[in-house]
Amino acid sequence: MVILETKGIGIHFGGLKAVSNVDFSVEEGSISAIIGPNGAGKTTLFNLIAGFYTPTEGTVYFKGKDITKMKTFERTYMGLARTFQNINLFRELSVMDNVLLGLHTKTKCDPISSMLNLPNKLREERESRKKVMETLEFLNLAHYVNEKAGSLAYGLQKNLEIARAIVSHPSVLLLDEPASGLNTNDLDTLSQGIVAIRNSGITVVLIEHKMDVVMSISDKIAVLNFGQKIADGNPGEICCNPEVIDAYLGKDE
Amino acid sequence: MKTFHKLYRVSRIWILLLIVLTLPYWIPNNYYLQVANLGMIFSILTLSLNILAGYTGLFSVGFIAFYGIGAYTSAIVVTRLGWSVWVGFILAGVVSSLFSFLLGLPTMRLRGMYFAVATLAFGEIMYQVFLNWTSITGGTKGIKGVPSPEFFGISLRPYSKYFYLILAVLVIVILLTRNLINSRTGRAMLAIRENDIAAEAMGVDVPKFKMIAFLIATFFAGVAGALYGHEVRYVSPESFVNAESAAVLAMMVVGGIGSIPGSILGGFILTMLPEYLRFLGNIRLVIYGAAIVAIIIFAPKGLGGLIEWIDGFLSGTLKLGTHKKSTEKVEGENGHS
Repeated sequence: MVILETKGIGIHFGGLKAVSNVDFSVEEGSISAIIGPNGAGKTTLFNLIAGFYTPTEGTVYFKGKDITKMKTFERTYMGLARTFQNINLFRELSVMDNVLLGLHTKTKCDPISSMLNLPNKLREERESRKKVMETLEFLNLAHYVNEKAGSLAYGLQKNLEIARAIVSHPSVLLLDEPASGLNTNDLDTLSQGIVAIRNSGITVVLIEHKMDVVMSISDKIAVLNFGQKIADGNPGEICCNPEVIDAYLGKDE
Repeated sequence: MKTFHKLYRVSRIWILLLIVLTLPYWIPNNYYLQVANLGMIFSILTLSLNILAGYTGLFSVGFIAFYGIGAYTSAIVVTRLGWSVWVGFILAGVVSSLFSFLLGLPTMRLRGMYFAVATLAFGEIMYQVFLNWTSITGGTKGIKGVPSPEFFGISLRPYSKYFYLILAVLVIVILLTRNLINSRTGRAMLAIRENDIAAEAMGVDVPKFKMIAFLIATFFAGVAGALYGHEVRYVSPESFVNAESAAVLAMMVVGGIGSIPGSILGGFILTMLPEYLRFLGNIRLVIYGAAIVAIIIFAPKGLGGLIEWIDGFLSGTLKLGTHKKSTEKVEGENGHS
């Protein structure tokens, strides 16, 4: 079943067509990848799906519903979570608080009971903290629970962003270049982690440049170039597609 | 040394309680007692500004307006309508929040300086309203004869008794603020301050939570204003000029942005300081200004940071060298990117 779909989606910044007429669909329970050269419009497509940009054309469907006009936070409530290419953590807050914020959509305590420490708040806090610890253990971050997010090493910060995104158990997780800046050892751990996340029932869409990661874990790959989709298919089809090879390596004149 | 740390950790809360509860007896002079009361009222006001500016990152430059609205609301309903002072206190908070709601509707989408300027304008407008709406506010003459509250037949008029009322409100505001910060709502506020794009990605309805912070902060500010009105028993516009807003901002920064003990100390000490420096004559304001600059330079985390450091030192939980470690990590991180 298709859980996430764009139909003819596009956005123009002035005369620049950053993304134009892209049809992209994601099967529930799959790992899909978006690849393409720098500036191809991959992150822009993510921003259109997550609601950070409003498209100038086309529609976005999530769980069968047209979400094109929905605000970002409303899409998060529907179960769409994401990480960012250039890490957007709450740097001054602790690791615990960062991941607790990932549970914002799953908690509902009102400000008054919060201030009065009423039983419903205390119960919610206790349950949330327990859930956060489980997620931190899953991603090997439990040791850093009281550290400031901004003081963690780069690789740990990337992990923390994933922890914050999956703690609420979203339906779809958008990962923007999860492997960038990681060394070869960490890449294997990351690939296994992404597969484990998918196996826990979260559909994964990732933007990635590291081809070995993409090829080894993706069920489906879409290729963007100059804002347009030039190919899609399973890894076997994509790696031999002449148009894709041209886009990446340049045309043989 | 270990036994000392242990002794300190067990006794610190009791020592603090003892000092605070007996404070009126340490200050024999009625005038200084009134200043101490005013200092605590400013502690409440600074703490409420901290909820807005320190925790949510919304710098309000005209914050004194809400303090003024609280003072006038309570003074008006008590003197004109003859309502109970206690009702006046609550209503002061409610009306102040009501004004912040109306101001918040068009301004909650504004960021940084734009919000600051909007509140600056609001502060000036409210001052003009206090000054010129003579039939309600009494204009320049203000409202005289604002009564003191009574507590089960005991008049709280003497400053030494009113002190405990302010103290009770201060303690309540401290507890409510602390609970708020350790909750879903408080974390949403901190997230907005830290990174509003990421906050939105977490599902935080940013304008809504800015509004919640605004309503809570201005409620407390309104109550503080009412406490002020019933302490000095006279409310007039010059207490609510924009320069006072700047003073409250200074109290927050000197105390420590986002620090509860800092807000209390900042409000209290910066109210007391000019009075205790009075023997210096006109030069006292220069020294007052220099003291603020010195604190900002030598204690960038404010008085709150200083107190936390001393507390950590005395209780033996201070980890020496942690600062160095964290800078190393920052350098390592830059190496990556």
